[in-house]
Amino acid sequence: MCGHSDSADKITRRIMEELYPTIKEQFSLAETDIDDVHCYVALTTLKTEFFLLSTYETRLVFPSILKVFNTKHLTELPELPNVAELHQLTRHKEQRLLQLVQAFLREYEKAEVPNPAADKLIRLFYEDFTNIKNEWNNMVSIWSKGCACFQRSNLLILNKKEDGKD
Amino acid sequence: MGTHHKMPNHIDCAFCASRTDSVFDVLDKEQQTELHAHKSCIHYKKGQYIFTENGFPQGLYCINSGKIKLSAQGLDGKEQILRLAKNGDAVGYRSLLANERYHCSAVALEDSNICFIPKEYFMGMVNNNHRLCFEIMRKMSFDLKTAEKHIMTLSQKNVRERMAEALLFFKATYGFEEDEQTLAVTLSREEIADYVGTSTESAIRLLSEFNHDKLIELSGKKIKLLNLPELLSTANLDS
Repeated sequence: MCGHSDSADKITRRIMEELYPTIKEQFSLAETDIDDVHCYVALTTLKTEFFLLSTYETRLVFPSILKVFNTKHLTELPELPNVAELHQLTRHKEQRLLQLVQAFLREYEKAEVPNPAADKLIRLFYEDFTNIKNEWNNMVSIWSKGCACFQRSNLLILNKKEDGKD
Repeated sequence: MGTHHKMPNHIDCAFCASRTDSVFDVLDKEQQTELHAHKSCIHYKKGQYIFTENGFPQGLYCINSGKIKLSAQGLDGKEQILRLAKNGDAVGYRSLLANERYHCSAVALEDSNICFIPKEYFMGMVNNNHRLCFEIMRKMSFDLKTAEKHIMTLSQKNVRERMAEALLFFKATYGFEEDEQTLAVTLSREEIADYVGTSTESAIRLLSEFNHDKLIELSGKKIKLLNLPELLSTANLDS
């Protein structure tokens, strides 16, 4: 088992078991107090995007990364996750999500109706979500450069592609 | 707003070739003459603004000839085209009737001749002429239908984008089979719908669309990714 496995396990647990459930709860609190239609549409669009990111990470991205760390012989895996590609796709979704937070904030400010739950939701995204994601992305970046498991995984994918060409 | 010029000929409403396409076609001869006396005709060069976002409406614009683009600044700062207007169309009526600032700008896409009807006179006509009032309601209903269709297309586009994204996530997670095209995972349509955040029916329809567009090839539960660059583009990931 790779030495990075423990830190990866800890941070993914913080995201999946602490941050995401808090954000999900905040969504349901915020949407009950919104009357403005534009604000509501912006919130539901943001909610959909957030739930999709959470689904991809919980079911595909995090298990795949942990699998790369925890498997002794990657060649034995029935399928080999492409960590670099998964990370790129996730970053794209995170960026889109933050754009939607901004769009929601604009509509919310235009509506001029105070909603403490919406305030907290926006704070959760701009502070907790952004901070933990920065932490996670830095870790992935370090693993990509210095972790043998990641490099082996990428190498195997490259080799597989080369074999396919022959 | 750029400088504009009076039209070479002050078009008489009675002889306006675009009148039959406009809401003012319901006016009788006398009313047309009265309208003609109150309006002014202006020539706009290609690219000139007729009105700008956040401006306060002073009257209604009716296109005698030419083409107008109505657009607003999107959330990302990019221009969002709302609709195009042509001969006979009235523009700026929504803000005028709602007594609100313009939510979009109007720009001449080609050299255009446009008649301007002052606010006070137009509101008086609407108040006193039930046929004109009905025509405006009809025009608003038509524009509302167009806007609703536009929203539907946009949300549909969004689901297409998400389906392409889901397929790319599956590829990155499970990889391909020996043929380097078939996803090395078998997912039910219901599971795929869950990843895309749509109903199973929509997921089935979208996959068929992708199959038809030759982005993928469906064979039972197996999915072959035929055109990766196009999938990346559909998922908005190609830049």
